[in-house]
Amino acid sequence: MKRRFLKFISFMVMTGIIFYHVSCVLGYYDNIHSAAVFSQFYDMPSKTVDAVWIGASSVQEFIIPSVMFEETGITLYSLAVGNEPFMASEFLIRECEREQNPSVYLVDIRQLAYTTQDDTYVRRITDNSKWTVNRMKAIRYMLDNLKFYHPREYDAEIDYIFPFTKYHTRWGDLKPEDFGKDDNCFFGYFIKLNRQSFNETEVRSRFDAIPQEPSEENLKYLNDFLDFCDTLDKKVIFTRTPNCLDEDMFAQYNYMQELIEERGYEVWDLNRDTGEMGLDYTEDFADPMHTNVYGAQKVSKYAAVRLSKELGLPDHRNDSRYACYGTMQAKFLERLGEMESASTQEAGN
Amino acid sequence: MTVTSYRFLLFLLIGAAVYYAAPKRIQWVILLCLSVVYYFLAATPYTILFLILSTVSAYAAGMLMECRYFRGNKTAARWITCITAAAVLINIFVWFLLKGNSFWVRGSSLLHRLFPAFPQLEPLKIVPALGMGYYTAQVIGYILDCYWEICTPQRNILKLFLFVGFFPQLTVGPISKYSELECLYQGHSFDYINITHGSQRILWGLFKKLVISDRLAVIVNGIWADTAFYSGFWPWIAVFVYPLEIYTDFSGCMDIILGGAELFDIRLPENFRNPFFSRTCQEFWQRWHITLGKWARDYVYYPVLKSSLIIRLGKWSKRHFSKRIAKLIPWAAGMWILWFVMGFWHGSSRHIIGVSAYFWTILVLSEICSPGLKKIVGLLKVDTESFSWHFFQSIRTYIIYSFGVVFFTRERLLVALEHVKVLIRTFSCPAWNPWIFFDGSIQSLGVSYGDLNVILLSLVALLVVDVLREKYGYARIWIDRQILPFRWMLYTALLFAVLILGMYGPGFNASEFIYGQF
Repeated sequence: MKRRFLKFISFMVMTGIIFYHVSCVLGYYDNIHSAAVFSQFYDMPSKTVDAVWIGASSVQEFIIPSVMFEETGITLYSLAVGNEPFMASEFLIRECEREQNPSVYLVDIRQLAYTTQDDTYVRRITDNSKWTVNRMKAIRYMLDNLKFYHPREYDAEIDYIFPFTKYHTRWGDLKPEDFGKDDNCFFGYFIKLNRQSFNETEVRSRFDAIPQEPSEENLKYLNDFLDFCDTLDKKVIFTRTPNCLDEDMFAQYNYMQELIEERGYEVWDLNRDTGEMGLDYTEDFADPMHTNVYGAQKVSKYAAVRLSKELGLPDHRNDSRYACYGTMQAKFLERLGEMESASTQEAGN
Repeated sequence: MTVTSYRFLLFLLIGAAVYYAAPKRIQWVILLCLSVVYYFLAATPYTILFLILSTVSAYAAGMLMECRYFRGNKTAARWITCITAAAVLINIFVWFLLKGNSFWVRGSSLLHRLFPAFPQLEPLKIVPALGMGYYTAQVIGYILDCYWEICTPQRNILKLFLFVGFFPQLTVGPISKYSELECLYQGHSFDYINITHGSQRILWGLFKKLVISDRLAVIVNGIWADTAFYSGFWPWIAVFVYPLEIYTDFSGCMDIILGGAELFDIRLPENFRNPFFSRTCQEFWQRWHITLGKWARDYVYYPVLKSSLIIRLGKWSKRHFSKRIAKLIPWAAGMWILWFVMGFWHGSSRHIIGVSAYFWTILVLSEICSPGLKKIVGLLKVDTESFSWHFFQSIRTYIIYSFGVVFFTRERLLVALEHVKVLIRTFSCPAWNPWIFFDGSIQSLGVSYGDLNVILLSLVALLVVDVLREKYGYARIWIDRQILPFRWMLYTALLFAVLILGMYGPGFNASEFIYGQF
């Protein structure tokens, strides 16, 4: 009986190990490198991240952590993926506390003017996160909110807990990224070269739009998160990354900024600092919502300097424990060079 | 809660743990509780009343037969017959009332047209009980076994309820005899072998259902859903793929059920024995849905053959026909009744009765033609023991069966006939499109090349297992002889084939078992 029991345990362990690896391969996949954003975060050496910037594409496509490191030696991670629901912010901070324990959190509020109606955006977070109680709570919280504000049929909760049930069918569609080989994600950032021009004067005229209340749903998420921040013994700064959105969007962000400031938190409106960072509205945007790689480098450098100066984050450039940032920057520059030459060649043809 | 859901697997796991933890003398009570809980989780709760009604009728009949008052003389024998008939009729009536909706609604409509005074009946809005066709057959078998004194009536009504409603078999059978399930009331010790064998069988069933059957269903349903677009050779694909779908669906479910019961050390009777290896139609029906065939044979066919009417028919035939034909006539009459009952059990719609009529005709024709065919084979000096001859016979049986089941799942006779028309049209010029086998058109059905490869490889695996089964009785006997790494490799491959290639999870509407409707 003992021998059989041992055999059974060995078989289960072997199966468990295989299952773990199979479920890592057959996991979430999209073209904005969401899986890599989380896997690179979890792979970071413990307690090496001083700051984490949370947000949607308003952070993912603006902040290049390795550029920030090169500029001032600060270690920041951009834990942001496109359309990241604001309601996920609390979960992400808890996850950071568990993994890295940074001293400051930056939270972008861009997504608070949009509604998350699609559970795909919830899955971008939960399906790529580690299996923790925190994750289970996040699934429950976000699903409950989705069901309440946007009632329709969603997958069963168990399918969020075990995302393998959804992605096992991807066996016919596997890519190198699924085997952990994502060469286009640089600590959350991915390169965009395209350009769209905007009239700076016109965009600036929208900055002082009269505050306008956002939706009840978003207001709830913001208040819930502020309540959570009150319990958090860490510095939390809210941000507004540069954009060329419509006036009514600025109006909503202005309302939220007032509300956040009333609760005693700082808001960095980077739209007003574009002159200082040297952002060119005709060259540095990819679309109204995002900067291209050139704009992102300018925003990153500016933010790095500001974080170093205002919060006194340390310079780790000569510390070998933080070498991964330097390596990542070299990879980033190499890939940027490749993409630029490919783009020039394409334009020539 | 379908038997392919993780809830069912969890239910089995917890159930088995509780079962073996309990003292042996109350293990049957655990099974009873599990069966009731399963019923409430898997079916409309109030329909358990029909199950209770069947149990009470069978129990009352059994107890009355045991009663001393009804024993010993001719009048008593008549009383026992009446009691048996009443109990059987109650069960048939309830089953027919709920499952034969279409039959009596259409019948009343016809009568209403002929005699306007006759009321036109509306379909009942009562949901039939889970596995009604299966447990009703089981209960009738029990009552008749008691009547024929094949078994002693069960004195504990709760034990009888367990026999009627033992949870694994409530989905799609098998239809067990009372004597086969007496092990339900015995205590069982935990046995590692039972657990491993049960789990392996469940896994194999899941493989058949989720990997093969549900993929084949995409092809078959896609073609029949749009015969205007999928014309020419398309319907032929559906015709020849459907038997494989129904086989992997039904036998897959049976494997899960039999494996589930094995976890509790309960052996349920087998329902399949490699039907597609059959060389004749008669053999096919001895290997397909075996328990229904046995039930119909024991409780319909044999009693009918012994009935005075058939005996008289036999005598009359002997007087008027040759010896061979005289033998054939009562046999054909008995078979007709057997097939009618089997067809009616599957559903009272005309197209199902049509399927029965088709198979009865095939059986009778093969019986009539068999001497002539044997002569031809002899004249052609065919080696009837060669593999190629056996293979040819199996293919022939498969083709005959394939045509029969064209009618099987179509909703109405007219739809089924329309499909037959579509098949015939293939050979007219505009529908001639054999290139669909080569130009990748199959992908328009939502089946990728990857899926086709999975289907082909899975069917090869199925064939290998069935060949092993044919040779050793159970494929596991051969597997158990292999070295540990090889066995583990097989089990792991099977497990991950189900996990990765199975059609389950969000985005898939887990298709019901085809035989679940009965």
